[in-house]
Amino acid sequence: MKTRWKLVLIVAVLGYSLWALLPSMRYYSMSEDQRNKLTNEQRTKYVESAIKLGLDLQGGAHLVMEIDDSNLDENNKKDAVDRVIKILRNRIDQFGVAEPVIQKQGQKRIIIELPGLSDLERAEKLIGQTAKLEFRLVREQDEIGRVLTMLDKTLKGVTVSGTQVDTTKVTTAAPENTAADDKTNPKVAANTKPTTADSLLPELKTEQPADETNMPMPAASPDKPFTSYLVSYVEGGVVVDQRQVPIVTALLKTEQAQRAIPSNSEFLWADRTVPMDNVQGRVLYLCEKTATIDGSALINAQTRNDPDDPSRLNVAFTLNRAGAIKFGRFTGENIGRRIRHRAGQPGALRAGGSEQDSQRRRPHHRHEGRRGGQRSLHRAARRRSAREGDDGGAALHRSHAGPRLDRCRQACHHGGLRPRGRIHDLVLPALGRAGLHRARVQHDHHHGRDGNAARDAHHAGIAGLVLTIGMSVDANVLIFERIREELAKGKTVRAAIQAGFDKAFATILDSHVTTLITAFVLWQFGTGPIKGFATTLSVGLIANMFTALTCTRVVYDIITSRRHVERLSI
Amino acid sequence: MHFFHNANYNFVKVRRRAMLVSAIVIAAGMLSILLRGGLKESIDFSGGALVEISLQQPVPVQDVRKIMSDAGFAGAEITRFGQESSYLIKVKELEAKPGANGAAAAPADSSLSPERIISKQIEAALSAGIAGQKVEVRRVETVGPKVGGELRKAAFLAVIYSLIGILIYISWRFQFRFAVAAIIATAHDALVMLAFFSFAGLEMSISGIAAILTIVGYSLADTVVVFDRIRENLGLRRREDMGTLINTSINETLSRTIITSGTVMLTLVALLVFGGAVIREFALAMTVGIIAGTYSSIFIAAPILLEWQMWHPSRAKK
Repeated sequence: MKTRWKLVLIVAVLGYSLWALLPSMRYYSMSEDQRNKLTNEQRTKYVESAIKLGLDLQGGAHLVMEIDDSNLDENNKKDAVDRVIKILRNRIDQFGVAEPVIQKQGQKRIIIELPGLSDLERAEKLIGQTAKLEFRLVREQDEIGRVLTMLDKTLKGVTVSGTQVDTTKVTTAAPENTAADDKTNPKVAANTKPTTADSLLPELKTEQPADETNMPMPAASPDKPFTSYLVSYVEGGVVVDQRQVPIVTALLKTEQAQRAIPSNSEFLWADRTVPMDNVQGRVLYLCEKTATIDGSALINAQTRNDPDDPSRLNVAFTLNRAGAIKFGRFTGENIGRRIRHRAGQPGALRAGGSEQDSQRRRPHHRHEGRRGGQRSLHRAARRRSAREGDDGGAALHRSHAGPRLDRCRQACHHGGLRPRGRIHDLVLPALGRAGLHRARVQHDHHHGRDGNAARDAHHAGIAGLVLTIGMSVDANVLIFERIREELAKGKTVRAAIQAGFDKAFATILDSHVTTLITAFVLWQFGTGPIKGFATTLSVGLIANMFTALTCTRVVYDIITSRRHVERLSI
Repeated sequence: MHFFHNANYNFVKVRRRAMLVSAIVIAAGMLSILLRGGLKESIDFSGGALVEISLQQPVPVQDVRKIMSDAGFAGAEITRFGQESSYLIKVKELEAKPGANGAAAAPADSSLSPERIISKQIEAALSAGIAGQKVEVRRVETVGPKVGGELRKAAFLAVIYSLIGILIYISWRFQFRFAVAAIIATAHDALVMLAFFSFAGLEMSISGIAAILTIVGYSLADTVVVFDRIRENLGLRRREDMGTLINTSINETLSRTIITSGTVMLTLVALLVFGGAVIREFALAMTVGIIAGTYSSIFIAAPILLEWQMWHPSRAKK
């Protein structure tokens, strides 16, 4: 009969709910040790299928950023948000955050949630950077030699004040580069503002342990004012003691030095240090001033593990058609020469014009023939210590972002499950029977929309649950009361149940639909937690109607059909 | 469970008095909001920074306040929170204090937002000011100035549109006057909650908005149940006069109203007792709202129908 099909439906829904909840139950009942033993694959599987905890329950960072598109033209404005989201996703992937949520909010906002990440500042710095990617040709060895000789000549007698600056202080005290030009012009104030090259220095702070400052530094000799700072040569560049980078930078910025450097070339620092005998060295490259290819041609870039050498990381990137053709020609023409892959961040943040190690252009670069003539290149880089590796990986791949991001709202919850975490445990079991499939449908929503509507157990969500419990009780109470009334009128048990359900139906429908209207409007206009509230509520309400009108009914029907019920205790 | 067997209370008779009481409560609430220059806004609306810290040993709140004002945050709001040794520090200023109190101020970093710098400065000031104790920062929230205005606008629009939606739906399923009565009763509950926020000095935050919206939903459902019974009785007892009919309907649904409200109240009491400090204010506001919502469907919504009938008898029973 009809009852049988209803029963099948209920069992199916219940079974599905339990099956869907199984990973959550398993995962959250595991101890820390057990979780650590999981392989990466298993963990991903669990994290994806288990119910997500809100940031206030598990700890983590929540940021809302706004795109400043005032400097973009109409065409670029249209998909600016989507482009930025793509870029952010790439960058955040390199944080190693388990389940980042990156979603669009309205036209210009982006919500970023990084569970488990408590260093809001680090997150903000990496996310907030506007990045740029470009490729430049590195000058030939003999040309570098020529320029160095010229530099020694023009810089004779030039002193740079603040030469004893401790590198660790360079960030706050911008090197005041005063140049003295023999006797004719005693003091010429040079560029005092840190520009691209040395604004990179904040990053150096972490790489430079303070105890190294005791190591002897090469002193400037009068006849070799520039080359005496060089500790070594590497292919395509020269090496400078890490601690003398600011001095050399200052020297290079003087008018005299600029005269020595050809107008189509430019000195650029490598972005990290190389260990020399006892000191940390930093490579200085001479490259072409204009980039052959810049980030406007970039479609996508990712860090990967090098399949041949696990200790190294690769950056794979994809260029658009025009960029790919140019890149192919560029690399083809210059086989055996070095190409500078420069990944700097211009714009308001000016985090630096950092520079990757030169890439020797060798035929072994794989050109993956992809659709539309896109090419991808694998580039190896050393994997560094854990934390540095994270950020360094992100730095390797800086793509052309264009629009700038402003911060709107951000919150950081330190620590994991805290006392308030109990609310979660308290409310969910309290839902009991109805709660099982309710939680499941919610979960569905979650994944069905590609993580776009991640529902978290925020306060607002808890409010939604309270209201849902209320409505759930209400539906059942309404039915019971109606049946009771019908019984009081002298109807038989069966007839009373029939009439009770029929009459309660309209009431339940109306009260649920009015509440659903509110929920729908909230979902439409609300953001963040309010949207969460609306979703929890709507799903709960629909589940309620199913439970009250189908499940309860089936139970009654089964009871009354199996045996003759004389009296109903209600 | 069966409450109020054959209940027959004369709710309709006291409707004028009930309305007066409601009017007084709401008027007092609005007056209190006006006198205080608006509701207290949390940083969700006003923008600013919130830092929750935890210490090993409790320190007098005044000490924390002094550290904050020494660091240049004279307007900082400091409350003890949850456990004895936890404190909530809220700063609504959006401009970073350049080098306020030298040592305490964190170095300004141009790549950080002003709100973030403020929160860093707060952290630095506290670590320096509270001697001999490890200051554990448990939560940092910063909100930029733009968000608040938009939130206000979104909340306002949401209320307007949901009222229109409900008006249409109830007019269709019931009658237009039912819809108007339901909306008045709902507005009543929202206003009573706003009054409560003002009286209790609670801050309006996103959680507060969620609490009010929950009550709006609950109160509507509650009102619709009573109206449903009135609608049914209008068809059955055509002879009865409106006052008696409404009163009978309220009494018939009384048992259900009490059971449902009671269950929701139990949930809220559980949240109040076990929920911890974060949720306490929220649960308290919800409790007040549930009482108001139950009260309004009995004493406000249904009697408005009667008033309407007396004022405009031509639109009587369909």
